[in-house]
Amino acid sequence: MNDRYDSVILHFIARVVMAPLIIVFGLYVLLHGELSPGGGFQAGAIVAAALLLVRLALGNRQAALRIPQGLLIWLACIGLGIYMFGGILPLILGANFLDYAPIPVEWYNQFAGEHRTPRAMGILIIEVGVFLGVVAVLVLIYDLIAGSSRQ
Amino acid sequence: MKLLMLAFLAGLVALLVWASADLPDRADPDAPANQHLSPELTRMTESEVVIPNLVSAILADFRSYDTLGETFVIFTAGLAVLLVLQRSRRVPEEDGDE
Amino acid sequence: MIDEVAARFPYWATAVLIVVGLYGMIGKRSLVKQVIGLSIFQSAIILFFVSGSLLEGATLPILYSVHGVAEHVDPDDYVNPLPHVLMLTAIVVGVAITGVALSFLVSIYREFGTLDEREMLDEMRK
Repeated sequence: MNDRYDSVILHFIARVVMAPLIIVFGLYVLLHGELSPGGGFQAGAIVAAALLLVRLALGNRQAALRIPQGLLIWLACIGLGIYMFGGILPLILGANFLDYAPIPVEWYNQFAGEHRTPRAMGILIIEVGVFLGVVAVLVLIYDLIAGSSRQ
Repeated sequence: MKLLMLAFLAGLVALLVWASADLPDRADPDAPANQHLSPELTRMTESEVVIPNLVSAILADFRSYDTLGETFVIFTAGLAVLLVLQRSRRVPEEDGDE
Repeated sequence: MIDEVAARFPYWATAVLIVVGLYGMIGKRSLVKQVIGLSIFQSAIILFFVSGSLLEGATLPILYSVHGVAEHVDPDDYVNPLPHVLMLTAIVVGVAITGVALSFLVSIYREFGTLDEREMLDEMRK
């Protein structure tokens, strides 16, 4: 994409310095979505921005952080599946669809040492599903458009 | 034609600015949008959901059906892009084979 | 006078942005510029909703009481969270719409070799 700016510094900064930092920050935004500003949509956009940054800086020919197209589609499907799981799990446990009250959290609270309510647990499940869907779809759209305009 | 369009757009600006006179002031706590549903959601977030982030609580708990539809929308958008671009990529190859 | 302007300014800015976006959609011949106009229109709506969520003397919608700072919750202390939720989803739908529109543009460019409306119409009439 940018053969005229083929610089080692640009590649190093984008791939080694910026992208891991942005991805870690995106995961922080995802996992602290209930405590501070954040959530699945925002974290998905941030992580997708990191992946697109690497694609923009390195061009399309180099294979860094490249995700196969089939895997991206599977990730989007898995995200939707996690969301539906978060909805159907309370249904199995005897409540309404997407009503998180009966989700068991004692094992998680003992494991992580937190005081998380069942509703906060259900919100976390759903945010993870949204996160996977947003990341996969944004990267998929970019890859398809960039890949098809290159030909 | 160009002048007609500019006149139409200027009229639209005037109409919107005139109509905004009926809307509540900026940052008005007594506006209907700030009084009807949102205080109830804030109280319910504190008493039932017990997480600090109001936006997450409303997004993923009170309005989770909305967010489910949202996830389907972006998933469908990804599939639409996939179908549009992949089908049009295969067409020249078939022409080349014939 | 200045109070009146401050109370009305978000609506005027929204009106101007809506008309700028509409001009991009109906006044430009390039399809890419029409997509940009669509995006500006969408941003105008989003800014309108977010400006409508403001409350005088309120802070961001993170509850203090759950963090243990305050005793009870007063809804007037927080900006209206509902428009934020709606616009959060609207932004993501906007990205999806832009992506699908750009993929259509790529497809149209392959078919006609141009993104100009009139050249496309001439091409169709042949």
